[in-house]
Amino acid sequence: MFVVRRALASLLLSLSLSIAGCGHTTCAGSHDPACRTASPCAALSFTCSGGSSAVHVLASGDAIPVGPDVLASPGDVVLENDQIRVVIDAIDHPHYVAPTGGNVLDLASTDGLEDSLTHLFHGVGLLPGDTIAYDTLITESGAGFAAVEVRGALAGHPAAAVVTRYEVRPCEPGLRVRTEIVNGTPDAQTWALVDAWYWSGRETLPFAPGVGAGFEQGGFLSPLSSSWIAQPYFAAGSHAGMASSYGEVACNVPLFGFHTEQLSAVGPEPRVVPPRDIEVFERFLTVEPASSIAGPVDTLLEVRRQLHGEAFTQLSGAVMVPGGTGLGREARATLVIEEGTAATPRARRTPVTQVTPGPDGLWRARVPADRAYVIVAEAFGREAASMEVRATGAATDTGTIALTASAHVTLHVTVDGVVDHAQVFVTPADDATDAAVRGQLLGGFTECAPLLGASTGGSPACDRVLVHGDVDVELPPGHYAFFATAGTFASIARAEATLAAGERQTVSLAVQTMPLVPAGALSGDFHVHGGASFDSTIPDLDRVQAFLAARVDVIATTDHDVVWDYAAARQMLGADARLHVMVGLEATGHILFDLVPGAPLPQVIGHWNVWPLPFEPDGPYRGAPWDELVEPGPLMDRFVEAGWPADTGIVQLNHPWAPAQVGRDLGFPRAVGVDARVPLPRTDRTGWDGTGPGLVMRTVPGSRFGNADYHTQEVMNGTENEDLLPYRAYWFYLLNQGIVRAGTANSDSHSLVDSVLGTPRTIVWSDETVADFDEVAFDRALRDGHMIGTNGPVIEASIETHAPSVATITPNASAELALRVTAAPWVPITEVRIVVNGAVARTLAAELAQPSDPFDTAAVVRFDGSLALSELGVTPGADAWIVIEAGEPLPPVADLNCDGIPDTGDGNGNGVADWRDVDRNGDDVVDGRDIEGIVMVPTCDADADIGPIPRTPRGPRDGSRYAFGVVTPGAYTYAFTNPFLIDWDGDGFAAPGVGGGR
Amino acid sequence: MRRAWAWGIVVAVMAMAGTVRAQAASEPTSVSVSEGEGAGTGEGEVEGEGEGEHERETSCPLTSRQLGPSTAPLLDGLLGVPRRACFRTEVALAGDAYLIAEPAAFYGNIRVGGRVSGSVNVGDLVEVWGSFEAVRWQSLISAVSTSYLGTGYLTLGSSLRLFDEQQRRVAGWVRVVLPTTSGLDQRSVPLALEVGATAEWNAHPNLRLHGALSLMGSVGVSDLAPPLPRGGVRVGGGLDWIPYEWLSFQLEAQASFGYRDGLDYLALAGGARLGLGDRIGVDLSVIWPFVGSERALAGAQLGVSGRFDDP
Repeated sequence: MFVVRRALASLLLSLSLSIAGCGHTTCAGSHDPACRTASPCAALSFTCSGGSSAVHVLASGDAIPVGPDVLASPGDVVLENDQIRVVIDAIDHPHYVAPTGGNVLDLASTDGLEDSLTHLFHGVGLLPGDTIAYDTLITESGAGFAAVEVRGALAGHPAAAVVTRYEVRPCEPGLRVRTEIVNGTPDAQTWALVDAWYWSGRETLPFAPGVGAGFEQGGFLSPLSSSWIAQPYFAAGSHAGMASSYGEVACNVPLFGFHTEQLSAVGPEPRVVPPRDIEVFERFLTVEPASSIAGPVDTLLEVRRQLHGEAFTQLSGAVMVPGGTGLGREARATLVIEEGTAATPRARRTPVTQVTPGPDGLWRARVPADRAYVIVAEAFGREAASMEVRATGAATDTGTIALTASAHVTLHVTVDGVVDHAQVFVTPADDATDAAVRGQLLGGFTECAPLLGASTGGSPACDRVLVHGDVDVELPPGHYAFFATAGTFASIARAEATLAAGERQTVSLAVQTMPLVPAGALSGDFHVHGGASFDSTIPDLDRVQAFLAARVDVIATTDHDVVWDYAAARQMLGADARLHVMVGLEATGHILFDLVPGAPLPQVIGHWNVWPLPFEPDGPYRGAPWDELVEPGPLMDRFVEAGWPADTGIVQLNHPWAPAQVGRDLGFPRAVGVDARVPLPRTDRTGWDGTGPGLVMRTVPGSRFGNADYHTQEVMNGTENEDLLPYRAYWFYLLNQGIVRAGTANSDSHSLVDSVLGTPRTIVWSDETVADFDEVAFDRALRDGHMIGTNGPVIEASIETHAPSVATITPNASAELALRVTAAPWVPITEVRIVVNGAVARTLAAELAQPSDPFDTAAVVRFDGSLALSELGVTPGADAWIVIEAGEPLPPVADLNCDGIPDTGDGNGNGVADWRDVDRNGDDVVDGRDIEGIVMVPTCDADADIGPIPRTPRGPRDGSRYAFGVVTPGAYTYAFTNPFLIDWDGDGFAAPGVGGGR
Repeated sequence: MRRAWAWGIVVAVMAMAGTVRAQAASEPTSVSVSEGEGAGTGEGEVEGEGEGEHERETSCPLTSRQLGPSTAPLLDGLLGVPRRACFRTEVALAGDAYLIAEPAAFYGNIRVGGRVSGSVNVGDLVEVWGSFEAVRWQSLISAVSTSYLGTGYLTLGSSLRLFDEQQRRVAGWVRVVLPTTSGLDQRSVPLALEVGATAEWNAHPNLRLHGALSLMGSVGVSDLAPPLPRGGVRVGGGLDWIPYEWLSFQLEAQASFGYRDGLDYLALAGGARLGLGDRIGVDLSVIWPFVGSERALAGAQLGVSGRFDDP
């Protein structure tokens, strides 16, 4: 025993001495304010004269970075040097996916001051518990540095302590960051420690060197762990006007990661982390005031030279365009520099950087030394020229790349005979031009024909131009058709031009507005986004110009998670004289949580619009409440705390059945798993039954509001209306159960391209005028459902003296439905449907008048008449609801997963929607390959593969609907009224029940 | 630094073993010869256990089957696996597996290892033993799954006979677990120590009872990470039913406290052991934690051993 005791004592003593001697130095988990994390990237050194560094807590009135994505507010911490300015959000100012502050909210260079960063947070995986919840923030400054240190733990593993140190030093064009995370749990963990750059879509295009990669990133691969690709650095730029570009390089480990247009996640290679082990990630983040990525890449190569001894050299040259115009814009000319030779297929080359020549055509960029490169010049989204070059150790002048001259057109648009705001769509007038000009800026975002500018930026964007007065547009030579529009209630002017290289022409287009909006009504778009939204980069000026070009009377500003009023742009354009802006918000769930008990995946509650809200120019989220981890009812409580007038304001259920994006639910009823074939659990009467569908009518204990206490629901959302039928089905499902909410139609436009602002829109009868606008009265009309939704047709309907409304009416037994449908001549209307209790009771087709020329300038009355309610099967004895629709025939759809909501359209074009129309291989084409090997498909299967519901093509260029297809991309014509609720006995509306009582 | 400490510990254990060996040589044991196992059938057969008339100063049968508590591991480096009270000289190859499957938490942990083990019996008084996890594959399944393939942990230990009379025996033992992984432990290497005692009783020719108690602790050694020491108590007991000389079945109850939480687990363990001839043994052990904070669904080990003790 003596021996054992002696050995044991010796061993324990050794261990004790070991532990004491090493003395753990991580500050992760430490509550010692004096503890300091090691400086990141210690081997780096930048020098200059007159450098500086500082850190301070932002106070009201302090200067903050500017730009569309700036969200700094008092309490946040500003870390800056003579090169960059960084905002770390305060611990109690969480943003987006991060559960707390302590992350990078804004990042801009001090000279450019254009913040384009949505958010940069940290995590070790993709689950909610994999994010980091910081609880302590410490600032520090000293000789030659300023720093912020944040400490906390994994949100889902409090035993996994984390510390992140942000540090700036004088003269450095970037931010040093070091994160340490200790696996204090008793189990091994799989950790992919990453910087998660939340781009959120439509904002930034990430780039990373790799064979066939560059801007062509693989994104999420299956299995997910294979998405992490080794890369020496990565960079990202918005490529949309005034913006900053960003880059990151690791200092202490090889960099791995993946990139999508929504998210870049980079860090050490994911690994098994046993208990007690610690993951350490040091990196250098850089920012440059430019759209292209050459600026950050230049810095990243210098960092790699210092850290890894990798030599770089500088290439320079010129791009020449006959006439010399347009240079400096990426759409006109930009260069992608790819390692390889001309003989190397482009898919086998390794892009290393991208640079856009300045207005003088000159450019320069750093590249790794002693390699062969191909410089690819892209113009209008297509490869236009290339040259081979050998980069030696010395700077190399590559000479001149000559590009073909472009064509120029001056767009001269008048509205009602005078120069005014309008929008022009430029389209190829023949197939040859289409094939020759179809392009995509750096392979990202939207394919355009032609590509006139970045699809995510201001005008011109993709194939669209906002005009007010003469506007010059540069475009590739070809045969084009120009369509000018001033919204859904104006004519479309069309002109054709064949433009040769170097040729300049003027295209004049005259648009005529039409008195389609009935007296006493205003048209509005209650779901719009601008650059303040995390997924939009359209400048405010272009956004407001789009308001004016669409000729909407009322706008509800509903940027994601921030309140924004566009005041400066409105003032600059004099917009308030022509439209009224109601300031609001789109509450957007980011943080997944256990919304539905027992659900296989955590969820969010989707998106909810709310207005009005007070705009706080320097407040957190600019006045919006934090909107995470709550059900809709308690969210409304937070709206009230933020200043929302509950008695008069509006809460709107947005796109209720939209599919989830990046695992985040967009529509509440779909998220909770409503089965529209069975009645909703009336948990408003019985108490919550513990089910997902039961959440729809639930009131969370302690909340002032029930989850169903919203006022309006989007029946139409987005110009491309492939999801219209699911939204319509859910609205009808609620109406059939007597759960009556007013239906709206909104564009949900985020740019000039994704949806056309004001298409669709809602016409509201409220007796307000723009000049004398009473928001309370207008919102009351919205609550009451005195409105229709439309992407062209205008339906005026009444029963006796009653207009559509969420209020019940008690007509006489002999009452008639008076109906008038009008529209601009370019709007195809081939059907008017009278829907009773969710089923079409009568279709008018032959009775409709048709315009002879879609480009006429006078509105056309398509139907004006009346129908006896008895003709519609609406007779005393059975209460009923009636909705009138007008437009083109509804496309065939199927409900393959048996939830009562359409999910699949006729993708293969055989006239029937069924299991053969599912894009099973995910190649965005429905064809025979999608059903290979399938021998039997059950007719009803909750787990069935579904979708998509295809968008509607424009049709032939000489067809009567082509103009509608151009200005209403992807849509079929549709308008709907709010319901008439027929209560024959006046004893309350007796809803027919699910299925309409059939 | 970390490797130096690992070697230091190895030296300490070897020193301890060397000291014991020296003591054994200089202080012959006075434990009397076991008789009980010779009676009856099966395991008690003299031919089966002792292979002759060699006089041994222990009640331990010299069967080729494995003896003693369950060997199914839950922790790395066999930490928490009690050591047998009967000593022998042998080499063994074993594979072990460990599984956590928590779909609700999006967490899965599969660990499979192959180990080579050996022990030296020093005069039935001391046993020195070691086990090296020569191959370890571990796969962590979550939203982002990762895996490790390399070497695992090295376990070194020694046992000392404390009592051996009338078919009852008690051995004390000590184990250290050393970080011999190849890339798994990157910035903090774990060291573990376990001290325990195992008691066995040949209650019947066909039935043997055993129990074990151990104190275990582990710590991380790092120039950056905190040591995060853990310590716990593990207790267990069970029986071997021996229907035939060459076959036994095992059932055991185990409990562990304080290492992960207040109650780490209550578990059932079971297994079957085969003796193939005089020297080859096959051992299958499974442990199933059913209460407590231990997340594993089960741990298991399948081993083959070859005994070298002279009859």
